[in-house]
Order: sequence, then C-alpha cells, then structure tokens
Amino acid sequence: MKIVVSASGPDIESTVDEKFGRCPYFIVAEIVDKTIVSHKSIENTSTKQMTGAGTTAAQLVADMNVDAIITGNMGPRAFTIFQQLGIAVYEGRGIIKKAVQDFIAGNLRKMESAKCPRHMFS
Amino acid sequence: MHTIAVTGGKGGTGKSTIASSLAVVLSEQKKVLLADVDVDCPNDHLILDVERKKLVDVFQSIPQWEFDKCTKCGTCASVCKQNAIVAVKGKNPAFVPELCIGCKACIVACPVKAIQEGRKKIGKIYSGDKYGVHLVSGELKLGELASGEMVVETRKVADDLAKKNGFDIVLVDSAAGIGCPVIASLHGTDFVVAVTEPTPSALHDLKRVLYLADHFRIPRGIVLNKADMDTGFAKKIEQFAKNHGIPILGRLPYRQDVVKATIKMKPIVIYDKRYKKTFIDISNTILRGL
Repeated sequence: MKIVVSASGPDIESTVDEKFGRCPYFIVAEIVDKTIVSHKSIENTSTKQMTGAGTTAAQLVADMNVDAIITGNMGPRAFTIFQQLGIAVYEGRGIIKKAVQDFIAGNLRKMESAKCPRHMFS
Repeated sequence: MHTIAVTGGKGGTGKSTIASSLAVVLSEQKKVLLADVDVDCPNDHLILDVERKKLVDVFQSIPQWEFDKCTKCGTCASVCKQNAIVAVKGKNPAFVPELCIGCKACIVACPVKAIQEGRKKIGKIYSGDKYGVHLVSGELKLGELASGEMVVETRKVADDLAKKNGFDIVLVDSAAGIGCPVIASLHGTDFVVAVTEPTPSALHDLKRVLYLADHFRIPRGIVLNKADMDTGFAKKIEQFAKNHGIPILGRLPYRQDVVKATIKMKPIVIYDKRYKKTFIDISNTILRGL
C-alpha cells in the first residue's frame, strides 16, 4: 500500500505539513503487512506557482498511484480531485512516522469535506 | 436605438456617478435603459437606490463526461489551459468546475466524443426602475472567472429588453480597466464616453481606453470629472484632448456634494438640481453626435 504525506521537511521524522497544496515536500511511504517497508521524499514543485497549487499538487500525487493521503488541511479543489479519483484523504498531524503508524492502526480520521474558510461577507 | 458606453480606464474617476445621472437626465427626453456591466462589483443600483429583482440566472458551459465511452487517453486534460482537468493513468479524468471558463476545448479534442456540454451558474441579472430609468444589473457569482462572458450576457439581455420595449437609448456602465470585460462593454456601441480626472494615472489609463474605442472605430468624447481638483493637470488633459481631436463633452467640479449624494444613495442631479445643466449639456452633445 502506498501512502503520501504532506511534509514540512524531507524525511519521515519531519512533521506533517498543515497545508496540502503548498507543503515543501511529500513523503511517500510503502506499507506491507502493517509495516513501513520503505519511504522517500519528493519536492513539491507546486509551491512555486502563483495560483492553482492545489490542483497541480493533486496531479503530482495522483500520478504516483497512491492509495491514501495524510495531511492537515486540504482545499476544495485538491479534495474534489481525490474524491473523483477514489483516493481517500486522512487527517494527520505531528511526526510523519507516527502519523503513518496511526494510519496503519486505523486511528486516523477520514476527511469528509475540504476545509473551507468561513464566509464572512455576503 | 442607440447604445452609449461609459468607461474611463482608471477606477474611481466617476463612471457610475456620471452614467447614473446621465441616465436620469436623458430619461426626461428619451426612454433609457441603464445596463450596469461592472459585473464584478455593480454599484448603479446603490447610486440610484433601485430595489433590484432577479431577471435571470446566467450559465456557462462545462464538460460532462460519459465515462463508459472514456478511453482514459488524457487528451482532455492536456488541452485544458485552466488546469481544470486532471488525468491519471488508468483512471477517469477528474474535473474542477471552479476553474473552468467554458472554452469547450476538451469537448472538441476528445477523440471518442465522450464529453457532452453541461452547464454551471456563473451569475445573475437583475432589473429595477427609478427616476424613469430602467436598470439592468449584471452580477458575477463570487469565485467565478468568466467576467467577460457575464458582460456579454448582461448586454444581450439589456438589448433584447430595449428592442422589445421600444427603448431609445441603452447606456452601458462598464468596469474600470481595459480587459476582457471592458472590451465586451464597448464593442458594438455607438458612442464611448470616457470619464477621467486630472491626475497622471487617469490620463495614462484614459489613453489606453481611448485606444480601444479607436480600435473599434467608435466615436468618443471625454467627461472631465473633478476638473478643479488640479487646474494645472486639467490643462494637460484638455491639451491632450485638443491634440487628438477628442471633444470634451463636459466638466464637473470636485465637490463634497457628490460624496454626500452617493452616501444618501441619490444620483447627483437629484441630490442637487444645479448639476442638471451640465448633464443636460453633455447629453445634448452626445445626442447631436449620434
């Protein structure tokens, strides 16, 4: 099973990045028999963009043939893309290694909708 | 029926201020429809204190996939300039409706014709009446990108209404700038009123918008608003107009009155009838030129 985690640093001991689209790195972890058998980091090239980072990041991650994603917050565009592609998104925080282990144990909450800023004006 | 566009390039020079009072004054002699096509931020209903009622919803086309026909080739994603389509190997493409501007490139490009034309709402058109002016107001839905398309639709609705009901004049109040929405506001009009003020930014932007009017070969005139704000720079504007054979249709002074009128939600010619004469002169000059 392949999991991608939005990362604030380039290794599995870094923390889960709160934001999916503009996190500096992604950690890609391979899970076999409930164990992390391998992991690597990938630079998130979407951060350089002015707009549309969420969609580009979603394309980047989706192309990796992932089974699930762990992140802090995901915007509506990336979220709808993963929903349509049938890739589950889970909420995770703290050290990435621990978040992945929590995922394996089934302790992470699945994201039911994108995090939207409160609409203050009408 | 004649169509007169009110524009100016620089924001805040007084397009809506002048358009609304011009409409009121013109409506004393003619049947006038004021089309507010500043679809991002329409304000004419606030200047005229019109209670707007929704006329129609405006839609834009979006793709709708028939996934049983889709071969997952990814062509649709590769032609989408908006990055609204995400294609992943072996999966049906994902679509982000918010990013779509309705160009239909994906529909055309699909090699197996698996994409149909659907639609999404991009705005509303409202209408209302005050001071003998019929207002048609276009408003883009927040977050939508298709401002230009929204202007075109609002003008279409306004023109249809005007023709069916024997209006003499359609006054088009455009947005600031020179982009797509402004081009869509000026195109096919009979006269362009360029509202400006005596500042370097206003003159710079005025030249840009007049370029558009000239490109479309539409006769144009200038209204110098806030004329006494800087008499020195006002002379520069007058000299520019003279050098290029552009008539100055009228001049309005820089007064607190206009601010007060706007806050009280009254057009300046209603707030203080002394302003009527200037607007009557401007409207007569325009009508003579049509």
